[in-house]
Amino acid sequence: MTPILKLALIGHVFAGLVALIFYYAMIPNLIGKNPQLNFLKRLSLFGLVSLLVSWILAGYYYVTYYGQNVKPLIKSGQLPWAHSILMETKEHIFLFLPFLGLVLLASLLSIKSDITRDDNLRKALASLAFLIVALGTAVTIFGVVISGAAK
Amino acid sequence: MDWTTILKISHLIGTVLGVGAVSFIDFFYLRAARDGKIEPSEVEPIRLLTPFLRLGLIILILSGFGYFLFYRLTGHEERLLNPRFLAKITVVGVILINGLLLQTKKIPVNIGGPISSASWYTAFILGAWRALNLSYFAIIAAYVFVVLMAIFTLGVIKKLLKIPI
Repeated sequence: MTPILKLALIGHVFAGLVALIFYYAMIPNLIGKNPQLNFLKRLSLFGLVSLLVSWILAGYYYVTYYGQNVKPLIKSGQLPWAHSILMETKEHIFLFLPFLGLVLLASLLSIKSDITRDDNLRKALASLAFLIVALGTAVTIFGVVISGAAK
Repeated sequence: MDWTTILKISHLIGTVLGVGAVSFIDFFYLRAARDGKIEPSEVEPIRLLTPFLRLGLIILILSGFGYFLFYRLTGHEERLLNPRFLAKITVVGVILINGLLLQTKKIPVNIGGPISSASWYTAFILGAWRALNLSYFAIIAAYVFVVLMAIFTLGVIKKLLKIPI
């Protein structure tokens, strides 16, 4: 594996984790009594940027290395389903995540009213942030199992 | 200093911060609740300790994934499917979900507190007990038992100390 590929592998994991930390931090703030709109906008922006960084790095690793070098190992190993089920699922969720992040950021940027008075809006935004965290956590765990199967 | 040492030190710092903070939070909570009402000044130590708990969790997760990448890049991928490693990921997941439920007040402190303490100690023990050779489900069953025991123990302590809340 070349140094650039190693960097892509390491970078996509850490950028993804950092994104999840940002989105995770949004949930209690949205549900709490005093949500701070500017703080939420910042978290959402940082979360989206981190997701996009993770997206580009993972895309590079997947297109240039995974298919030719890792996938055959998994398919011929003891856990071929790690690719056929987990990686196939991971790919699609992973492609979808930045769009969810974009929806969340766009929703926060478009809020003109007092967010503290609109419980339904806050609950909907918290649910969206939770969905990103839940899906992100799922693909992270899939990644661990997929890597474990590449032996 | 090599990468394994850096990872080990940061993982230990994360665990120490988390286990230490959760232990003191439990102690201050019990002390504050002794008279049946919690004054704002009694909450202050808990408020001060909470960022350390969060910092410990972030360091633990990032260094944990540092180990994941280290195993992946050094050809030790089989360690990623080690039941102890997978159980530890599960326990950290419980800490995250429980923390969220506690912060959003969707779970009572009487339940969420012991889950948090038991989970942090379980993560600590799983990290330290390298010779542990049990299946994933056996470890998780033991963990569930520990959590239930922690909830039960807190109830007993509250009864013994006559804590009404």
